[in-house]
Amino acid sequence: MGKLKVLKTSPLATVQDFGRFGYRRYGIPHCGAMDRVSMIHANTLVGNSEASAVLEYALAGMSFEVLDEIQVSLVGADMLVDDQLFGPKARVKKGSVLHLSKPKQNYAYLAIAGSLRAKIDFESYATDTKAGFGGIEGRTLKKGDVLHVDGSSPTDPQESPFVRAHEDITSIRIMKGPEWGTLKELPSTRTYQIDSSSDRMGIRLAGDPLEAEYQEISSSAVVPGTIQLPPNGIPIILMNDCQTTGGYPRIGKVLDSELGKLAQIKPGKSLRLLL
Amino acid sequence: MKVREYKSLQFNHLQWQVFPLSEEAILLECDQSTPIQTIHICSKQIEEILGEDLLDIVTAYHSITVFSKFSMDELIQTLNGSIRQIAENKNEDSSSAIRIPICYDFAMDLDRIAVHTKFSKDEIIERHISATYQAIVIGFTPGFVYAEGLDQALSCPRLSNPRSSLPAGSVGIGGNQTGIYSLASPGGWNIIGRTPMKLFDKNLRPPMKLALGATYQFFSISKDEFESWES
Repeated sequence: MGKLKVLKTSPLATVQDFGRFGYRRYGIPHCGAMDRVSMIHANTLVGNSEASAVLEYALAGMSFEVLDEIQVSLVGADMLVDDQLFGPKARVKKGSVLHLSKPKQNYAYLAIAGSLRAKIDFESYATDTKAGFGGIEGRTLKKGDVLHVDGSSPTDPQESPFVRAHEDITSIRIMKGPEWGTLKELPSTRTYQIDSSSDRMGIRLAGDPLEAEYQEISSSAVVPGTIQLPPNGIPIILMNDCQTTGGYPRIGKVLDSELGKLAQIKPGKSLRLLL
Repeated sequence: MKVREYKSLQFNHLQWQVFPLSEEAILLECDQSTPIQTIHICSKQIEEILGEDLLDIVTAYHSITVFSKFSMDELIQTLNGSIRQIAENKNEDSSSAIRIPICYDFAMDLDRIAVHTKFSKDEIIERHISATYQAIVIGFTPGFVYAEGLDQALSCPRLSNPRSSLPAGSVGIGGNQTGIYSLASPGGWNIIGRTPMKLFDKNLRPPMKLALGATYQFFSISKDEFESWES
C-alpha cells in the first residue's frame, strides 16, 4: 500500500478518470480528465489499466511527502524526487519529497501504480467540485490531504510513445451542430485565441465575431465539445464539467478525439475550427 | 448554408427533425407547440423501444436527445412510424401529487417579491402554497427540476447579482419559472422558502424524487418542524 501527503497543492488538483456516462438524464455532468490521452499515457507508464483514476492538476506545481513507497508517472510536467529530476516515472521511497512542476501546457497527470482510494459516485471517481461527487470528498485537494493507494499495478509498466505534434495554430476538427444553419460565415474563416478565463466548464475564445442569424433556442441538450454561439458572435466550446442543457445555438461540436488536444492549448495561443 | 441540414422522422403522430449532436447523441426536435407532457410520454416510449441500446436520454422543452450506439439512420429506422398509444398522463390529477414540506421562514426575497408583485407577504405565501406544480425539465445542476404551475402573478425577475451559494432545498422563483435547488449551489432566483426534504440522493436509483411529469404541492411547516424533519 502506498501513501502520500499533500505538502503544497495546486488550485485545480482533482482526482479524475474517464467521467460519468448515462446520468445526463438526471442533469449530471460528464466531468473526467480534460486530456484523456495524457491520462491513459500516465496510467500505461505505471502499468495501471487505462481507466484508472489519476490526479489532474493545472496552473501551479504540487509537492507531496511520500509516507509509504509508491511508483508514479507524470505526464505533462517535470518531476523532482528530493530535488533530483526524474521522469516520466519513478519509484519514490518513504520519506522522500515528490515535487511536480507547473504543467508545461494546461493540465498534467500523475498516475500512481495500484488503485487510488477515492469516492465513487455514479460509477466514476471523477471529481465534480460543484456537486461534490467523486474524488477526495468531491473537492480539489488541499494541503494535508493523505492519498492512499491500494495494491500494485496489475500489469507490467509499458513504455508508450506519445508525442503530440506542436503547431503554431492548432487545427481542431469539428462536426456540424443542429444550429449550423444559422451561420452566415464558416468558422474556419476565423483564427481564435484561447481566453484565460477558460476552465473545466468551457473554453472561451477571443477573436472576430461570426455573423449569424441569431436565434435563442429553448433550453436543449449540450455535451462536452458543443460549440455554442452566444449573441456576441464569439463561440464558446463546452468542456467536461458543462451542464447538460443550454440555450445558445449549437453551431457545431469538437470531435471527441480532439478534446484533449484542445484542452491543452495554452491561453493566448491560436486555433482554427475545421470541418 | 442557410438551409438547416436535417432528416425527419414520424413518431407518435408527430413530425421530428433529426440532427446529430455528437458522435453518439442524436437530437430529435419537434414543433414548439407540442405540449411538454407529450414530449415526456415520447421520451418514456423511446426508453422502452431502445431498451439496453439506450445509453442516456436528455428530455427538454421541444426536444429529446438520444445517446445510443445507433447511427442516425438506424435510430430513424427504429422509431419511424412507430405509433404507440399516448396514455393519459396519470400524474396530472392533483390527488397523486407529491407533498413537499416548505418553511417560509427561510425566505430570502419575500420583500423583493412583495415590492414587485404588490401583494402582501401572506398573500404571496397563500398564492404559492395553493398551486400544483409539475416537473417539466431537468438541468442546471444534478437533479434540478424546472417546474410549471407558478401563479403567474408571482413572477419576479431574477436577482441582478446571483448568490454564490444557496442551501439545498431552497425554493426559487426566477421570472415566471420556478424550481427547487436540489443541491447547494449558486443561484440567481428569488428564494421564497426552503424544504428539508431530500429531493436528490446520489445513493438512490433513480437519484431524484421528482421524475419528469411528477406533480407536487407544498405544505407549510414551522422552523422547529424543519429542524427536526427526517426525510
